[in-house]
Amino acid sequence: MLALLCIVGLLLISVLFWRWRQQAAVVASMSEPLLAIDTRERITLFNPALEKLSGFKARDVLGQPYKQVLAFRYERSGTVNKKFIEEALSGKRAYFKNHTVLVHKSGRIVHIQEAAAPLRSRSGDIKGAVVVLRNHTAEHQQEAERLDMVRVTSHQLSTPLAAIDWCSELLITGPNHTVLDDEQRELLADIQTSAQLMKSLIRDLLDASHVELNQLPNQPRPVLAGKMVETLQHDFQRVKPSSQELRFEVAPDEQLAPILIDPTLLYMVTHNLVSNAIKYTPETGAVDVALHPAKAAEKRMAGVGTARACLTICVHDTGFGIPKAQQSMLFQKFFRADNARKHVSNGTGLGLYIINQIVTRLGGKVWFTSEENKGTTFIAVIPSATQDRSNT
Amino acid sequence: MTHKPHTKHQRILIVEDERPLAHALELKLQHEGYETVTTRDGRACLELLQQEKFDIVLLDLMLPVIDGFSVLKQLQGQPNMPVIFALSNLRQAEDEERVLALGAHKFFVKTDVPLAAIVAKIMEL
Repeated sequence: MLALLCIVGLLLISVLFWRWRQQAAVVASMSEPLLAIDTRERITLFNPALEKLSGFKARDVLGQPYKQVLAFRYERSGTVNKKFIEEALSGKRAYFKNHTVLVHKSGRIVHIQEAAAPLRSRSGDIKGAVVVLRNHTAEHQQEAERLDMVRVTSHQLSTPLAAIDWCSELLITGPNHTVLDDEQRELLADIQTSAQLMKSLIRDLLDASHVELNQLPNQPRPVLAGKMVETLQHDFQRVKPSSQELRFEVAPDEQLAPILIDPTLLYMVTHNLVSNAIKYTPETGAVDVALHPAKAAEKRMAGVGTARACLTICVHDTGFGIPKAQQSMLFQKFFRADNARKHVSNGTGLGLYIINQIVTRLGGKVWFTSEENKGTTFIAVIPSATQDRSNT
Repeated sequence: MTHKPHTKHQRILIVEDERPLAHALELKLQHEGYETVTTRDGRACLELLQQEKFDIVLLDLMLPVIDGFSVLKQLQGQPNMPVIFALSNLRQAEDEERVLALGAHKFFVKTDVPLAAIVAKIMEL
């Protein structure tokens, strides 16, 4: 009986050992880097592909807290990204995203895509988490080169366009403009309008490439919103239809001054919001712009702590509105709603994408309410930068 | 390329290597009664400023031989300097800050500003 038990035991151990060897062989031969940790975040598995990706050896790191070995950071801000692992340890799955970098043992930055899932026992208890990584560096480099080409090309186009614009302006307003007949004047005005339109398209492309290349300025300082609004008013008076009403309401400087924001980014967000409202509102309509310190409800909506100083930019128009079925796509790159295309033929569909990217990166949120043929209200809540300026 | 003023007695040095832009600036300023001299690189600009008196300089930043930033650096602290307006297609705020810190009076992004706005700023002086 004892001999039989021993044989059965040995057989069982052999099967388990064989299965363990088989699983280990599968993990070892996986081309994708794999990490497993227990509930105390200690490394329990570190496959050869992860050794290659990170520069660390499994024998040196097994049993150590993963945070002491692997530095996962957000690509854009450089701050620590522990969210995907925390989510997995709390039972949620985190799917592949490409906004994280891993710091190699040598200090080199490796662009990765990361996914994580909880490891559960048969009874369903969470025993740890498993993380799968992908080396995304080559694709990242290609994308950066493509965006850089867009940026350089856009920049090169600016000079000849400025020349077309200035020369048309000279012909239209110069001392010899009286020798032109009406048709010639109209044609020159068309040339100038087209040059200005192309300049604004190029500006959008440049802004979008700066957003995606993480080359936006981020030098927060106390901003006098009143002064910025003066510039905006001046800029827009020249371009808006003369019968369209454009009103600005700005809280006094003493209320807004404590908010630290990069003035260029604030200008880009406000300019794009107002520019959109003017463009998609009939000539007989009105655009109202308000800048004020964010109210508690607005901060809650933006997911910002109520103690943090925030600026609200509210742009309300009586324009064409956004069809309900298309509202969820409004912040996507190159998206233009059907009625927007119908009423305004030109436009890149980049303005709201740029606004959303900037506001999100500043830790805020932009949202809207809209009814077709009645109008739209955009609200952007931007928090004051923190002292270390790491608000992106 | 020197022209006599019609009504005002201010001399403006245009430093711009893109010929169509330089030409448009010349014509506009001459229409407004200013005397203009045009040059296309930073070194020639510095030489002209040593030899002649100008009231205003319109200075492009991306120039051959010596760029606009270097021109501003070399002019820093010199007596009786003209008012310098920097013109550029660089749109980054740090470029504006840099040229203002180097002594430029005003920064214009060429693609964003009509000729009339440049003249209006000159008239404010």
